[in-house]
Amino acid sequence: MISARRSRILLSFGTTLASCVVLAADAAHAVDAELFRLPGRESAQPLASRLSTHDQTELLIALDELSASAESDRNSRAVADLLRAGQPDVVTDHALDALARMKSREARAVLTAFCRHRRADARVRAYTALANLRDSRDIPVIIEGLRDSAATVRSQVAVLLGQLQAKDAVPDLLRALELGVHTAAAAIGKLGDAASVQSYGGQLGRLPLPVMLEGYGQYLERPDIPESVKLEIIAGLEQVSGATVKAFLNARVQTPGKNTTPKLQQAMSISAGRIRVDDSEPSTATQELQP
Amino acid sequence: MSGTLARVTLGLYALVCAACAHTGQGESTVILAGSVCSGVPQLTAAGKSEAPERADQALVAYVTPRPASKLVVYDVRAGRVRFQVEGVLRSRPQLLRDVVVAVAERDGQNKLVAFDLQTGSERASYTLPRASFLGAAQVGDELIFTTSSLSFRPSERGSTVTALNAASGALSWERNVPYALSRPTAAAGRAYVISDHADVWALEADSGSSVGCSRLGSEPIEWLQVRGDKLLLGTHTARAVQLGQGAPTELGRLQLPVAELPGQPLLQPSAYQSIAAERSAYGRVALVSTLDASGAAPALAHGGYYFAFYRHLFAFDGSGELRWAHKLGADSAELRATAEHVRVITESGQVLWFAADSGVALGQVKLPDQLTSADSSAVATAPDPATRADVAAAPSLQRELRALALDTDARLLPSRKLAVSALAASKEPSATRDLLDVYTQPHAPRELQGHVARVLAVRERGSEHLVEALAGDYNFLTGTPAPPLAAIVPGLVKNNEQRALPRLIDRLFDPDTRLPELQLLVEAIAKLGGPQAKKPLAEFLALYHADSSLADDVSSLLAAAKALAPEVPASAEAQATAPRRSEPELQLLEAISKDPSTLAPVKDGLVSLLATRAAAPQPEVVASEDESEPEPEAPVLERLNDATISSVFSAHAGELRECIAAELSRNAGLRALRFHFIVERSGKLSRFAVWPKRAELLECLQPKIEALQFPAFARGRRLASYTFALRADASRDEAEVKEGAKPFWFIAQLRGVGAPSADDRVPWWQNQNPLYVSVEEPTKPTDQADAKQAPEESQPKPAAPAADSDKRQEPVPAAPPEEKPTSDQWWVPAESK
Repeated sequence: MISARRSRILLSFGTTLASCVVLAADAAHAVDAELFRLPGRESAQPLASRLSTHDQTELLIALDELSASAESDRNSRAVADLLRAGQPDVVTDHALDALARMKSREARAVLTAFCRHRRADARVRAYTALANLRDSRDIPVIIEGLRDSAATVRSQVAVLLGQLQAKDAVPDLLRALELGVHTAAAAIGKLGDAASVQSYGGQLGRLPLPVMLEGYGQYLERPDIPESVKLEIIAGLEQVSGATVKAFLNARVQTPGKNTTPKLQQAMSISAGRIRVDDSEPSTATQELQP
Repeated sequence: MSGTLARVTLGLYALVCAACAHTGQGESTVILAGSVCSGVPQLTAAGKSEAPERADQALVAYVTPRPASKLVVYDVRAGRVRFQVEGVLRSRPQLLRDVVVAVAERDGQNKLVAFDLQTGSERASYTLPRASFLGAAQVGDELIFTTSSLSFRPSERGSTVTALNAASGALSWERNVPYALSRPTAAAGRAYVISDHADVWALEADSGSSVGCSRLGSEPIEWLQVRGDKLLLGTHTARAVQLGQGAPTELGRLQLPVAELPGQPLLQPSAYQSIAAERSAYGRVALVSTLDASGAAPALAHGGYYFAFYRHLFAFDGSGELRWAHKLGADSAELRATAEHVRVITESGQVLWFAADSGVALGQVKLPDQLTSADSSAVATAPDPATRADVAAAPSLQRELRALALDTDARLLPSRKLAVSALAASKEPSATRDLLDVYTQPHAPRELQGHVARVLAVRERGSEHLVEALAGDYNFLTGTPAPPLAAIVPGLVKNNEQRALPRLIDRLFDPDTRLPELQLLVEAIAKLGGPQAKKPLAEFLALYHADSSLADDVSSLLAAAKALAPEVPASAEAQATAPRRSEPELQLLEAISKDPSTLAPVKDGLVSLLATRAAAPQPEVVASEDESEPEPEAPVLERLNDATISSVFSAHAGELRECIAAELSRNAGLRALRFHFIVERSGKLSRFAVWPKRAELLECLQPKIEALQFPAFARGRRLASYTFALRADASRDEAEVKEGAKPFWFIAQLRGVGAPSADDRVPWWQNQNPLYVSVEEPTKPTDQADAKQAPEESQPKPAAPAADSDKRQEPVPAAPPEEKPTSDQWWVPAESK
């Protein structure tokens, strides 16, 4: 005979077990739904209309799907509206990244506006997305990013300008480099003409050597820089001397670029050979200085 | 005798002894506590004053800095040192009639030493009876000086007036009092001292006997001058007292605004001040005002007074208005003035003369040494012809004030503020530009910046410079700072400078606008822009309502919301006629207040704001839990969201149709109905209102609406609204509609088919719910489907206030140059290739 107390215990246990089974089934169903959801399969309505939800996860998914969609102009308008309506940081950043992937000129206005957003992260993303449009008309706007108050923005903009081949930006890049925007070095090396080498060399001794070598590496790789200028660069580096310069020159001797002439290679080899390195002097890893 | 009686007797004996105490030094007496004037006759007028006997001299006595400290007497007219004495000096040298006196440290003691002005020979050396030497005066052959001491011991506390024979240095007489006395002032064979800050005591110079004493009012006296039968005395004000044969009578007083000057200097130097030989505030912070006692009340002898603050020199007229100012090359050590000239001796050893009325430099002399303190009372104030400098044009007061205000010496903050105040009072518009330069000067003290901001906020001239200053952006490459909005904006508002509006809006969206300045900016835009300001403010509020960049200070967002919310009408009639919920700004506010990602303080502020602005019949928002509300047994939702509310109305649309159709028959022009209500946690409606307010409509709808059951939820109560868009002016095709099969708005949609196109109104088929945002073109077929689905969308977002307008405003990019694109010009847009 089962006592009343035992029957209550058994009943309670049974109820708990049943609840667990139901919850586990629900959870599994939710996980399955999430895992097997495919882009665009969620509903028949246009992707853009899915941006009207307040569910952040849903929003982020919709943004990813939008950026992969073919209708970039229409979708970018929807994302622009979303941005203008004001979003939490994570959504704003995600939406700007989505616009960067869409590369639609429809988004130019909102991207230009977001280049003046109060958050530096948002500005970095806006400049990046704007640069992704690959439109020369946007270069003046992007150059303005070198004047930004946030170091992260200036640094990213310098990189973008180098990628955009924005030769007009070289004077500003030189000034930015002088003020400590180290990423400007590589950009100057990509964009500067032969006359800019002297201005660039003015920072030698003021800025860290690895930073300067970033720019010199770019200069040495370029076909439009005269060989005489490149030889002057090598001579100047030999005067600086040290293990870091030696490693830099040796790396280029061992793996010469396609624009490295035999004369240039020979000059680098000779200069590297002349540089005496004290064993106690710390040398920068050769790996970092690979061309 | 009991012990108690013995102690009482001893105490009484001690008291009597103290009261009758003598110093034991010859005839010197101790004046009993109470008043120096006890037993002394009334102060009366003396005879004729002695004529000054050193008018032909031109001497400067000064002390050089340590370690090579020495006393130097320099003859300005001859341009040479007359004599110098090496030694450690403790007091500023003082030029008297035929001697120069100072306190020197000799053999571990402080001694008053006197040197003959002609020969430099030492005439007297007398050990000071008390620690502090206050100053000396020469009356005939008597050298009279005051020393004082502070101590907790009554026997050591007090002052001593000592008279020495100026020729031999022998002690003539000495008087002691147990309280403070000032330095003596000599006149007509008498030495006058101030006692206890209120009594004036006259002593016979030859004998030291009291000739008169009177308490001249209850006000303290810090300085005293004797002019014939009148006394001039006071603190920050000057009083004139007439001496006669009877009691002294008060004549009048002179009040100057000197208490507003840095350091609050007295009108004349304090007679209680001990002046050190080292650098001190005595010369560095000095006010000089020459007083005229010829009238009934004291007056400024030359219509002006002068003030030195370290290296800044100011000249004021009698009303306190600044006449001129100068920046000196070094700190002032002494300042003197006459009717025509102002003379300054600086610590670098320069003697400078300026014209009293214009401030033009008249002459200068370079002393052979740097100095720490000086006395030039024996120098005629006018510059000697040999010392005259080329007289230049009077310097511009504004330029001089600018130089003073921009002086980076940290000690000079008070006088920089004085210069800023004077600049702010300038009638020249360009002074505003100067004030901004002071504000933006690198490392400008915050206190100075605050002062500049305050004076700019009330200045009524030069606002065009404020507008101009708004133009610049922060520039990392050039080091240009962002515009100083805290200094600029209040002045723009004060002057109602509407030209500044576009630039203020630029600054609103400038990432370098500092967080504390944003609220100021928003309020200025709202005030200056009026209705035009709503668009940028709405954009700002929408853009940042959920952004972390403003999370630390949401005051700007709340200020924008306040500016966007309509004013509460003052009267009930105005309230009834005022356009309310249909305003897009209000819709934006409501949408943001319901957006779950809105920053919590913004949301709280908006809820409060909307509750305040709500119409009379509209229920107030209650954010907190209502304790009287019964606890729902099993709440399913955390909060009641918009989607759920929409679904409930969708499900019960048929029940409401009858009421709405009846209202449409009464009011064919009706475009929309808006419900406002509060849903309690139990899911029941507690209050309900409908707009427009029609009695029949409300009577019909109220029981149906109150019967609605919303899902129970866990937290708070929910203030909500719901809008039905209607159109009744088209003929209804009943055949196309099966009653009850479609919601009533579908009928309204059918009515709209074939109707003439609306002008610039929002299309009727578009959901009027402010929570809805349209991202598609309404004319496209696919969009109609979207529009139908819109009311059922889960969580609508706040509308972007300027999405379309931004597109319109986007500048048309300039046509690319007509050149044949080369293959590597990948960046040229495709359409231009």
